[in-house]
Amino acid sequence: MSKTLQAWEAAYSPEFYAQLPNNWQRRSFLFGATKTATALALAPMLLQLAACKRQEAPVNTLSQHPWPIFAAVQDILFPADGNGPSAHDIQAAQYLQLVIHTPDFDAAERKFILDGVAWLDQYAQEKNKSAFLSLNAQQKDAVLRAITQSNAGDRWIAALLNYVLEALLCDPVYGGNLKGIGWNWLQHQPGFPRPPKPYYEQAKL
Amino acid sequence: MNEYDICIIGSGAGGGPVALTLAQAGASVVVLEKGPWYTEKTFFKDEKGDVYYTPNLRDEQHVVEQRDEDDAWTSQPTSESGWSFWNGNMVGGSSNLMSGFFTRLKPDDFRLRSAFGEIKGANVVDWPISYEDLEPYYAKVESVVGISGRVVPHPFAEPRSTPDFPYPPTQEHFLSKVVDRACEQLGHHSLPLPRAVLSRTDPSQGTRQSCQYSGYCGSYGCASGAKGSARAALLDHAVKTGHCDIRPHAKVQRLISDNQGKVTAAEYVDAKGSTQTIRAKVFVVACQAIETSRLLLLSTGPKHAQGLGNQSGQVGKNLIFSAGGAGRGEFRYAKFPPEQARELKLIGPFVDRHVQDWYFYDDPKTKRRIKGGTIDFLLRHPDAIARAQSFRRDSEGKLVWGSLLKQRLLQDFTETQSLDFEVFNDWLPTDDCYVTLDGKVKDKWNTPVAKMRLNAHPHDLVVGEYLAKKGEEIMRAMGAENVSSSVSDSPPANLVAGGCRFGKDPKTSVLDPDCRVHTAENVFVTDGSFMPTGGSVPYTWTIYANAFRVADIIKKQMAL
Repeated sequence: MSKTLQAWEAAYSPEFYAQLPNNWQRRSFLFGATKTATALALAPMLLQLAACKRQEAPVNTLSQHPWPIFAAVQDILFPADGNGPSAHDIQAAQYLQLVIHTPDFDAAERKFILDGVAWLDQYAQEKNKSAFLSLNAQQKDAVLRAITQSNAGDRWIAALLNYVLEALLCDPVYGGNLKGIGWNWLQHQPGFPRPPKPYYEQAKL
Repeated sequence: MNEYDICIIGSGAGGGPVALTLAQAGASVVVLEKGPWYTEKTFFKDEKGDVYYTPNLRDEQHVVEQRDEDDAWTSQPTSESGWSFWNGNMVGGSSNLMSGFFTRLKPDDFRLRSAFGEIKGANVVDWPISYEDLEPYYAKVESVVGISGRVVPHPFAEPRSTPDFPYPPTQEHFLSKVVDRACEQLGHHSLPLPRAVLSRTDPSQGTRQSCQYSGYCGSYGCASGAKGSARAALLDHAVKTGHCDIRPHAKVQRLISDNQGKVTAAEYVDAKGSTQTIRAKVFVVACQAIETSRLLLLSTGPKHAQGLGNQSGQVGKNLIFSAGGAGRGEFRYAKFPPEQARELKLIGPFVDRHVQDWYFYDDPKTKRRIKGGTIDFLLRHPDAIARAQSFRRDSEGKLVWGSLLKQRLLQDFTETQSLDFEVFNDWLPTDDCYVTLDGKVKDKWNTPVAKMRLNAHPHDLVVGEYLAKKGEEIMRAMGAENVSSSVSDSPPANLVAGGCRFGKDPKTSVLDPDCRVHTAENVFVTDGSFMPTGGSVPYTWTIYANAFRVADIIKKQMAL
């Protein structure tokens, strides 16, 4: 494993992951162990993350570091390849920014996600002698694949993928899935009544 | 006012029937509920919106003890594992979120030990009451809660005091008939699945509307009031009598008992963090099995040194879940004519079928008659985010992204309809499945959390596998592709019962046949805790029926 990946790995202890609301590890994603529809679905585990009472107004800093890097990673994870909407089309970067800045979002998890950008860039420098943003798409993809060799990198990408897919299919009131573009693409019929606003902006009962 | 005739702790399927019955009889009733009070107006189909009725595991958790690879018992707090045992902490409890698949137990479920003999390593006992004792209350639930269905004769049909359900079946999906045809071809009985969902409006149900068929039923609160939750079907009516107060955000910490062992007060923490005390003549505990055992264990007193009703060390013992598993098959739209493909794709109407041909069967190995279970069929849950997340990793756990991920999503979402089946069979009660208090971990109110030792009897898997194979056969006869199933010894957290068995002998049970705590004459337990064995169907109908039965007993005891 590269020096950067070793250092990234060493930066987080098992105790650190254990305190995260969702530790994104591989074994937490096995299919079929639980009853689904009469039972409560798998969803609650994923959604504890966004526990928040009221959302802070996110500052529109998508052009500022580290958001261009997040957006570039998301473009690889969910590319504009002519098959449906891209990460950009579903507002994946805005969505991620909004989610991690809700006040009750787990601070350790936010730090883990934000810190990953520096590790990624350091790895790109080590491997390609270049900033991540300067790589071409193929190189970026190879860098992302390479960092999944480390647990930390694997978890980091799993987390980012999680929020890309939330941005694709969440109710548009949450800031992703712009005008239902993800639902339309996957011919998904949402339930009704739909939430008039995010749960954290609704009156607390 | 902090003095009532009756204080009910927990507002779900166990508490609702008692609140309604006693309020209608004119008693003053208070219901203490830990969670918030949602209504039809505040339930949305919001995949992200369960946060306020699903406690954050760092605030409130459990400790789970299981056998590790070396067969040693190892415990892990659920804040680490992410394994939530909370099923809907709000007024009406988890009945708000159920699918309302309602099936009665059968007469032999009340006498499993007599009917099928002992199973080594399992604590199977007969119930102290019979099916005939509960039947009038099953019938009562059909009309009071509102069950939609159609009676079809079959070999294991349970006796009924009324000819049919008061409400016709809910609307059916294209696949319902496909299940029927496959079962007919195989010589099985495809049965309409009764639902605690109103199929038509009925003035006697108040403001509840009939089902709107949004397709998002299980796991979601019902915005039309069609679903027969304890809140919509019972508590709303109880409140209208003027005799029932509901206090949300009231977390009961302990029950206080006197020198005779009678409970005199319930102590709870309100939303502001202040401690309040409720005095009452009768107390009913119905916090769902695990939390009910926990509250009793926390409620020590002069006559209850080891916890309320725990003089024989039985509180928390013989916790049960539902054994079994789930399966799935896919139907490709391209294989159907366009009109049928459109119907196949439709989300809203229910498949609503179940098969009970193997509720009892001859074990192919031992040739002995044994208890089997139920297979039900339902459309895959339409939650889109959870569905998409399952593509994040491949079968080897490797992350999938880019065009490959997009292709797989598109294919899965747009080319096939998935039909699921679920297997319900008895989770045998054993000495290795129980609730205690954890010695270290506490919740946000600084109270010890429940610790569960969880272990399944190997027989559960044998029966589950047998039924799952039958489910797969039916799926294949339907023409489904990619048929698979998985039977697990992992307990489904929402299908939980036991822990406070009812029985005649105070040495081996916590509750008497009336569900009264043997050693505390004014305390009753009315959630699923009382069940010595679970039957092979979801619990809710039986919990409702038994709680109505106990409510009549309380009414008599209070001379109302």
